[in-house]
Amino acid sequence: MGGNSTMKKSIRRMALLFLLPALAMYLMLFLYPAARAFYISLFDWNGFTSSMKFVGLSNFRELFGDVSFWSVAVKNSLMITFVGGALVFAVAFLLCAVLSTEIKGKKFFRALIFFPSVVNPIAIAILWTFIYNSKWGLLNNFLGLFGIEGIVWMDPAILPWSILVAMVWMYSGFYCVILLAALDRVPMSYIEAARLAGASEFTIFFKIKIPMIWDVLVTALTLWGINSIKEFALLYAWGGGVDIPPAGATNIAVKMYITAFGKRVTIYRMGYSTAMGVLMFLSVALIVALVAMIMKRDKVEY
Amino acid sequence: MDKQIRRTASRIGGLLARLFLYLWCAFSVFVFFWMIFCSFKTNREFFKDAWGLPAAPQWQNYMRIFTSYDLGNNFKNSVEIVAISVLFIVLISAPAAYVLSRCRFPGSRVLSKVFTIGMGVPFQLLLIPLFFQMYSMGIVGSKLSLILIYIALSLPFTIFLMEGFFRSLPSVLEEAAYIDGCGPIRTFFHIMLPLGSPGLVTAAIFNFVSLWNEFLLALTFINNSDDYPLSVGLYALQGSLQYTGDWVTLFAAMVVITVPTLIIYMVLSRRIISGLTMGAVKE
Repeated sequence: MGGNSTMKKSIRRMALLFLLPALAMYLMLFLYPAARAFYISLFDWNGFTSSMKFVGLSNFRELFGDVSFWSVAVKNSLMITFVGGALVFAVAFLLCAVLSTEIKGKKFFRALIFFPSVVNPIAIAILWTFIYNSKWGLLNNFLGLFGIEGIVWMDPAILPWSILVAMVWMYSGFYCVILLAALDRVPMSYIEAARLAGASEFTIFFKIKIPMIWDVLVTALTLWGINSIKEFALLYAWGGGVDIPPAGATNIAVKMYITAFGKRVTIYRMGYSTAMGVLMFLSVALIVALVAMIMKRDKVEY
Repeated sequence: MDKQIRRTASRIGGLLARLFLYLWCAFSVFVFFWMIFCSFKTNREFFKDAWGLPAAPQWQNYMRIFTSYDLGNNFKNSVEIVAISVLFIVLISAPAAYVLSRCRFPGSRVLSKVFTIGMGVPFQLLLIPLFFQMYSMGIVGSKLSLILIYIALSLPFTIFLMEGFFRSLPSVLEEAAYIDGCGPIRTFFHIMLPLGSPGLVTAAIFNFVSLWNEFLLALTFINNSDDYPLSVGLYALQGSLQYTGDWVTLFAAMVVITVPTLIIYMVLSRRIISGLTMGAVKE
């Protein structure tokens, strides 16, 4: 018994020793700044002077009253998260419906589909500006082959949609592969039984396979909620490397960065910018809660 | 009759879905090769014909990004920043994840949750407080500040991933080691860590790819253009080429930034994909 208690003690000691570096790092450079963000968001502060003027919730009041913020940044963020999300998951579903059947070259296709998500987002943004370029871009060139007159894909009115297409191309594969990995674990016996009963592949996919990977689907949707709000690089690069991005490429994340550190127009409104950061955090929390609520159902055991 | 129609419809639907898959993949392959071909063209070829192949490969496009532009230096910075960050991320996360997944002590569950919650925090929330924290430490704008931040911000995901990995190891081994009089720390280093090394490698790959492509924090925390990593370097290059119109060089730069992740991906795609599953699919 004595040996057991020394063992316990030395396990405790190890636990402390092993946790300390991660915990210290996490506390200092993650939890503390996260908490401090809420504090800073209550101040009027340009960052570099020590005078922080407490203004209560007026940063948030200003934010909620800022029409251009809502009609541009918030609108684009919402569009990315919900319209983009619908498209990403529609494509992901379609691709993995095909790939979860016995298809030749499955691994090859899976690797290809996933590939865009490991490419640098700045490179992807640049690549798509060349695809969309109205004079010598790939897309209008392609349409020209069929005698179709191309349009200005980067026109302010169309730009958000054009970017959304690039985004769907970049991310669908990632979510498809997550879902696919789960689909591969659905027991064959269920699928075969359904097939024998005369169910179509369509029915099997939506009535049997999807309910069985529900948990993973929830995880994937949650992940999309977090990542879509955070999206920055792909949009910011639309500024061409010299300028702030056009309105069509401005979401909350971009707006927030410009408000704090914008290189062209230095604004340095740290409190106001941090209030946007807080808003982003709350948006993520809301989306996560929303996903959990909508997707709530009894667990299928198998 | 009705059944027949439905069967035909389902077959056509299946065919269309398959066609979609082929087109999707064909597009990705095409875009990729288009990028490579463009990087070997002359600017005149590039503007004249979007589809044409380069008459002769213009290797000097690649020379130019290293001689006329600073991409070589950016590449070196990226390697340095990412390598050091990944090393420390793994070094710090592995023991923590091991303890959190296999030792029960008061508060261990809560602690594990506290780390996990970090995955849901958009970095934008931390951006300004971190900036001024680095400022008051006197290291803002340096590679060191970026490395520290990369380490801290990668902990939640990495610990989450590794916890799953350590949890899947059989506890018999640990118990046997303890009975043989092996202390817990030695047990970790001699038995559990080697067993968990595939998980460590997976975590390292994930962090490598995501930090190699990271942009927001690099843009915020690196001041001096001599210290730019590739993603910021590429962004800056795009800006300076705006005036010269030397687009083929930009394509060469895009190839350079893509190749390392591509190689890693080709060699280790199975591990990346299975690692993804490990995070998402819990037993």
